Amino acid sequence: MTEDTPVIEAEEAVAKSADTEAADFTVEAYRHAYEEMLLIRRFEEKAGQLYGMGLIGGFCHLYIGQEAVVVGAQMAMEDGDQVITGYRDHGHMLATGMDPKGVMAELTGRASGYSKGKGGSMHMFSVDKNFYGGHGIVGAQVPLGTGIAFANKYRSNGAVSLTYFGDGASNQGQVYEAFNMAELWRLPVVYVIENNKYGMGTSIERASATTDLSQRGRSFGIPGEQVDGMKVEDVRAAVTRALGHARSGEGPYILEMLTYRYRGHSMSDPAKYRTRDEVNEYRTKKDPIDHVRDILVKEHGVAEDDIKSIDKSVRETVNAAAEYAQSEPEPDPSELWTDVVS
Amino acid sequence: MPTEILMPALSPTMEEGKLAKWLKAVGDDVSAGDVIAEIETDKATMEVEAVDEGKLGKILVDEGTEGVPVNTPIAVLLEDGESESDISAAAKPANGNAGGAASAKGDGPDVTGSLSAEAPRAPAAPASGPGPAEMPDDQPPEPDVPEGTEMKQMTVREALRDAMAEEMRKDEEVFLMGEEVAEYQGAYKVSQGLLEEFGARRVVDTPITEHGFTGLGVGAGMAGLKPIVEFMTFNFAMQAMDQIINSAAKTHYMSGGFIKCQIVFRGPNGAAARVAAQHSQDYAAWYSHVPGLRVIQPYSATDAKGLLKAAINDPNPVVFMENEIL
Repeated sequence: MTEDTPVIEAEEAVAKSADTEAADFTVEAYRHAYEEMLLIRRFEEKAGQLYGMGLIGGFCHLYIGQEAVVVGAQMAMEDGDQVITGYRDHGHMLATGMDPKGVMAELTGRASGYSKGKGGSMHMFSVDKNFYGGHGIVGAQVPLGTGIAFANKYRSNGAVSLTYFGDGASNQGQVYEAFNMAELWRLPVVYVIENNKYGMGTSIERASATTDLSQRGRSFGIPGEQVDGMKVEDVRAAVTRALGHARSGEGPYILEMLTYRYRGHSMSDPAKYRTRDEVNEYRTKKDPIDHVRDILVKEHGVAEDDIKSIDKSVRETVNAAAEYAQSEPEPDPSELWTDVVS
Repeated sequence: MPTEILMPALSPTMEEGKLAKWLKAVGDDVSAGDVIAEIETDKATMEVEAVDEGKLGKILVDEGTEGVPVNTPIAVLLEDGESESDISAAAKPANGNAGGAASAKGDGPDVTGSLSAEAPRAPAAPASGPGPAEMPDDQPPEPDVPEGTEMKQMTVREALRDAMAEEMRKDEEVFLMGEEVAEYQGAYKVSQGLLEEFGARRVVDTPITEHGFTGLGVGAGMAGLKPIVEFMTFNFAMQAMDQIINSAAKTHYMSGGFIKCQIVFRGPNGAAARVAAQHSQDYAAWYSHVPGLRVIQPYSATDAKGLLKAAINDPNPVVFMENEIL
């Protein structure tokens, strides 16, 4: 574990699973995944641009590089399953089907944003899309997501709570308190650990005594596995397994997604803690979107023009969201006093 | 010399109790550790174990007697060779070192060791004496209670339980979770009988993990259930404050009003008796500074019942602080 780089582990995971996981991933599934991942990529690039122009204030944590995780997971979910995550959350919102206009308008702090301009990057919600935020305290969403699972079991509604957190949050005490209750009460929850190798600027090796996060539930009896989070088909297959486990009443399941964020922790991160070569290695050889694009073109014979038309339509969606987010009004100052209590 | 057995204090707040049952009869041999009687305290029925050995010489308080003050002699133990005639000679100067108090749990200095006539009679509430049930006497009459309404005497703890039970009967989405709320019937006996009526699905014993189970309750609240999260005392909720404040109180505002969390955090708050600084805090001012929380501190049984029912029905997170001593 200590000598191998996480990249190599991910490659091994692919070697194990590629034959089986990719087999039932149809051309339509690849096309869908490509479109969804590209939407997140372009959206986040645009958000970074608007941030640089001073149009987005506060914190802004971009998801670029990790797109295969939320898109693959969403493809495995059933209607009614819920999603909750931390503050690197734009990708999750778009994957659950939230409107890019409303998300971007919240980023620019406008009244027509998902939280009326009062939540910002880290705090958006959509009960319609079963997206429960968007939480700014590292690890806090883990008991919350476990509570959503508790409600599912209480109501016997058959839904599973997908509770996302990062490698940084995986050292939080409340995560283990939640693990204990989830297994004790056999709650329908899948914990998706997005291990992007760095908790802010501290590498996982410098923060965690054990770095195989998929095994963090072992002392509670929670099964877990590592997944190549750069391969959308592997993600979908693993989440399908985990959801099946949780939905059948067998309790929680842990999936450690080995992934990578290309950008800094937040917009103000100079990224001095890693080399440019390391980032480029992922960008050029592991990119989740390039991977799917290659398969579409080379294995399924999809024409370059088809791909370009997807690219174009995604760009138009993102540009429309950006324009909307700049033209909508900011909330009235009196909104400071609303929604404090209901 | 005959040894007196005194009415023990079996909880930090007990001042008197009911001698429910004698398990030994006059003439029986008693060894240290034998269960000799059952006593109903303000919280539960407890067994009393002998701390000395001998023969039970005389029972001074009959079973079924209520309101026996702590430290009252309840029986006399005879040593080998002594007979009942020795009792009158020795029993009366009971102010001496009788030292025969029984203790169920080794509660420490409350019940063992030297007991004198001035021995503190259990941790006393300020202005001790009448329990909460008698308190309405000093209160102005309720303006909206029609004349001639028959009033019922009730302890605060019964009022709290009834409030929860009534709301749980009305609304399937209301449930109670916390440490010892189910099988133990509540550390302060507040949830007595609820497990029996509502079952383990709705009366949920949690592990001793305040931070985790509070977050879990808040998540269930965000998903639309109406949790009542009991803290054994609010002192322990300090571990859970992040979830109470950052998750429960603020999310409604930060979501532009779209996420609601109808949840009650309740439990005893404030100074208790002789339990040191960690267990004696009053959090009213802390929570009152947090936008998004409603903060309640009921006093009488009437307030406790009405306000708890209102709290359960309020669409906001409510911090409901009961008095540790009532």
